[in-house]
Amino acid sequence: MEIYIHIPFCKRKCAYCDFASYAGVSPEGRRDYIAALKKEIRLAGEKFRDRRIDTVYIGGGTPSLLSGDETADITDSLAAAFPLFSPEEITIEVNPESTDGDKLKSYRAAGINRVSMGVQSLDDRNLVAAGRLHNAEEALEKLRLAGEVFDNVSCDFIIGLPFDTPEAVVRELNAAAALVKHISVYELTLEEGTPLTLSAARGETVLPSDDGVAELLETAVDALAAKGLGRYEVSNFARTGYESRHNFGYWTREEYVGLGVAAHSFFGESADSAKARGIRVSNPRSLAEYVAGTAGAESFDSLPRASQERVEGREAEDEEIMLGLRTLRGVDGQILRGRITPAVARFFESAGEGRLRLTRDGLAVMNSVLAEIL
Amino acid sequence: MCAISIDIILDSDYNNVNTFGKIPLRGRGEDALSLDKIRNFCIIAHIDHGKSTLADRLIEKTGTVSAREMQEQLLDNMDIEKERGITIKLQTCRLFYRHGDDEYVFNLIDTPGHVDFTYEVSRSLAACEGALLVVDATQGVEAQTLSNVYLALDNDLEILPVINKIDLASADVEGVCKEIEDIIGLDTSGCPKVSAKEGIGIDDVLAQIVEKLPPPKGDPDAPLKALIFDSYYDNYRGAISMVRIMDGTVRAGDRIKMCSTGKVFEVVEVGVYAPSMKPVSSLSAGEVGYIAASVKNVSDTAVGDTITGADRPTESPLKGYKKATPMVYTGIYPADGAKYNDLKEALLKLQLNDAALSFEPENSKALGFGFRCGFLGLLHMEIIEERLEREFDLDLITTAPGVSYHVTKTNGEKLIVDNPTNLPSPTEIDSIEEPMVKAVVYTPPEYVGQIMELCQDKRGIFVDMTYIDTARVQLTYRLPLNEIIYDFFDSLKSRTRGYASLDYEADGYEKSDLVRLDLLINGDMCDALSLIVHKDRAYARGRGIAEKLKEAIPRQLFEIPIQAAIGGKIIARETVKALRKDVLAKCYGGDISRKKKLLEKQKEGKKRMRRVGSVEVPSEAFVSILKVGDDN
Repeated sequence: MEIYIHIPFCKRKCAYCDFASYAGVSPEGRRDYIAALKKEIRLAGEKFRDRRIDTVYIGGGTPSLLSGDETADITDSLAAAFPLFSPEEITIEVNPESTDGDKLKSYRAAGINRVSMGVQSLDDRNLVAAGRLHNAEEALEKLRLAGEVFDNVSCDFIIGLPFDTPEAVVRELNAAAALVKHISVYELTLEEGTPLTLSAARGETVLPSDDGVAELLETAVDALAAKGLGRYEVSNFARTGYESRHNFGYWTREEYVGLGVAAHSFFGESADSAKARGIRVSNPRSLAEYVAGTAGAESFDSLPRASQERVEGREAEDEEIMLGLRTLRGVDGQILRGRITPAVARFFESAGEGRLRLTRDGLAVMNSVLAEIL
Repeated sequence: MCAISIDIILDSDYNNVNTFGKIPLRGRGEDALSLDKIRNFCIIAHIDHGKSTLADRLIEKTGTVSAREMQEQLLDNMDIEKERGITIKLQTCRLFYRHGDDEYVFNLIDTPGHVDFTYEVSRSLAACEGALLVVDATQGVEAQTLSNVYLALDNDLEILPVINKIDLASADVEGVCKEIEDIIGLDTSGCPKVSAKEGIGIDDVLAQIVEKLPPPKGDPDAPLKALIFDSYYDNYRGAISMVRIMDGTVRAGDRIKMCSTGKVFEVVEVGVYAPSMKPVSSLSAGEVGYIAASVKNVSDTAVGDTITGADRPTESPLKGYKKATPMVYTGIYPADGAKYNDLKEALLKLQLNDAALSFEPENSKALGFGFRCGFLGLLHMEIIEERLEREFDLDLITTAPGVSYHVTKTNGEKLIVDNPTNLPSPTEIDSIEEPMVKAVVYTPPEYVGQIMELCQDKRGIFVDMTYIDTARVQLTYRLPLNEIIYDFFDSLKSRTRGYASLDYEADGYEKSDLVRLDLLINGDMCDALSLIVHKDRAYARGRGIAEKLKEAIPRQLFEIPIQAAIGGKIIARETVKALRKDVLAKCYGGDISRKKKLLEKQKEGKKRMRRVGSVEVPSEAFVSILKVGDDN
């Protein structure tokens, strides 16, 4: 089983963000949240006492807003709560402006062995448009610093920001690739109601066209490959051996328990049964509701939930396809039997051992392909 | 539908109401109110001249409905009628009026004003002896004023002009009276001058109805002879016939016979609209009301049929009406193919209420099963589509409206083609004739040039131009109907800033150089998009439609050529480029619900698509081509 911990605090919300994150939470609010989180950790540890914990991912929000001690408190709680706690990979997400050498060292002391930095762009104009709090120079410096403390450093990029050009994308990715083992490249998605969406709708921010973004993404794939970072998932690139174990669990439908506000979990009655008959639950999105609800809960099963659904049969199979096709490993050819129509056949290729994956063109139009075969 | 949905409560014990003095409310029956105390009339007018408002005031003034219960435009009770401010279905209402010492019964039959509904107007006229001709004092005589007057004169109706909207600053009462005398030849001396909106002059109208309109004739003791001038389906009582009794008397319990089918029914209830349905003991010669006889099958109450007594039938059924001929045809398909039967049911029900609607099943490769429907005109078509969507909650796809062509094949065989798909191949066609109309446009003189240019553009042949006065001109053109239904109305409106009015009537068929324009999507012909157009128009139209389709069809996994073709020859081409990428939802923190939702949305969208070959075409694409004007 994998564990996801959500730290919902941010200094400021980014212009494109619609995730569960809150700016301006008071120190008391933060304390209450961590207390609730630790309680949830304890209840989850009771519920999943027989599960071996393989990975931990501390995401946000901005986990690097926590002090070194607060972070250690959380990892210690995990180790104490889960009897079979033996993670190979513990990742923490950080932002450049809230990262420093001491903090990085305290992470290492707390057992964390992977850092993922939200760089997003190395063009200062893009960083301003996206509402980020760092500049390009600071991002590169902090990546270098992280590389001194950790072997396994990753960073995130967003493609499709206003000043992106193919040349800039190549230049920026080359600069980052020289410092890290792993890069995630996401496409900018305009989520409803975010400042960036509104400003784009008003014409104040001009974003690259759809075809332009498609070109940028393909440029990114080539640039990273040239630097030795292979595409092992539609948005993820790594040097051999540095693929993210944790994220891979999501795509292969491993069990995971998400702890914290708005966190998502997927698990079965037993470790073996989740794939065929799993449950997906999500926690409340509101901080207050989460904190109050968790305080009142006596067991993992009585925790407040925003959603809960059972996934089995055809739906489980659909999930396996939808998630598996994101990866280089693809899915077992058997479950695609009878689903691949002539219209989309050309987007599939062999992944060896009877498995099928999407071609590079296929990855670009994955939704359309999925809509055809699910 | 019809008067039953009006929720107006009269005194609950209708038969004992004594407000109306000695009028026996149970109907005329034995101690019958003499015929000369009855007036059956309708109100005719150009659209917007205030017909429905006047009807409201008459109802209000006679106390048929108290002010509290009065609801604006009482007789326009379909949602669409209220919203558009027009009358589509005819409605009737019985009013009681005291004139001097005498009590009178008025039967008011409201009529539609739009040119499309001439047929309905003629139905209501057949039930009347007189007509109020409402003319807007600010507008004067308009195209439909004239056509409705001619209809009324054809039916031997006495016409009482009523000048409306005299309260408006721009009213020119004298000028309009003169126009009525000059153009129509009606005497306007002493005619009522009113403001229906303000309630001015209504008493005068009521008095003149008694004085100037003739009472009905008929013999209450003769064999029953009742004209069905409308019918509709009531979920509880079955098909209800709205009738004008010409001769005889009908009561609950009577056995009646439909003259056209010979079928016999027992009368369950007879009544009047006041304006909600009120049962009475009998209806006699000269009266207007309804007959409910547990008729299950709507086709058994055909509008225009004569109802007579089963035991003592009349020897001379009424002539009935000339069946309305559809002028405009379109394919109507359920957006969800599974709703075919619902659509059929809905059309059947509407047809009962709308004798001018015709339909028959048709099958399209692209759209599946649907119906080829015939309408009186574009407005009629729009109204029916809207009623289907609103009253029956159906999602529809409609094909481009077309007309009915007479085709002579080279082997001498003659065909009538109202669906472009059925047009034989060019080599088999000897000639095609298209329906023509005589179009009359009334306009201020400054737009004459614009209108002539438009008519010329639309292949019109100039017939006549008359100056009615210095402010108005009547232009007459002979035009192909095909051009009128295309975008003529819109062009006319925009070129004359809404000042011109149009009326048209069928004017035979004319040989013409017509071709079928086909649209190919990814090489596959899409039957639902085929059109018959004049050869000279084909290129522009083909290009226009191909451009629209390019916008309407979303990018897909492959490049999609869109071609317009005439008989296998490609005349225009556009390309929908292949999709390069989808939006990539990340599965952040194991939240795969976002991605699932995105996919569901995509699949949902797919379901609403129609397949043409391997291409998914959204329903909107079929509609978008309706909006291709010659100007773009």
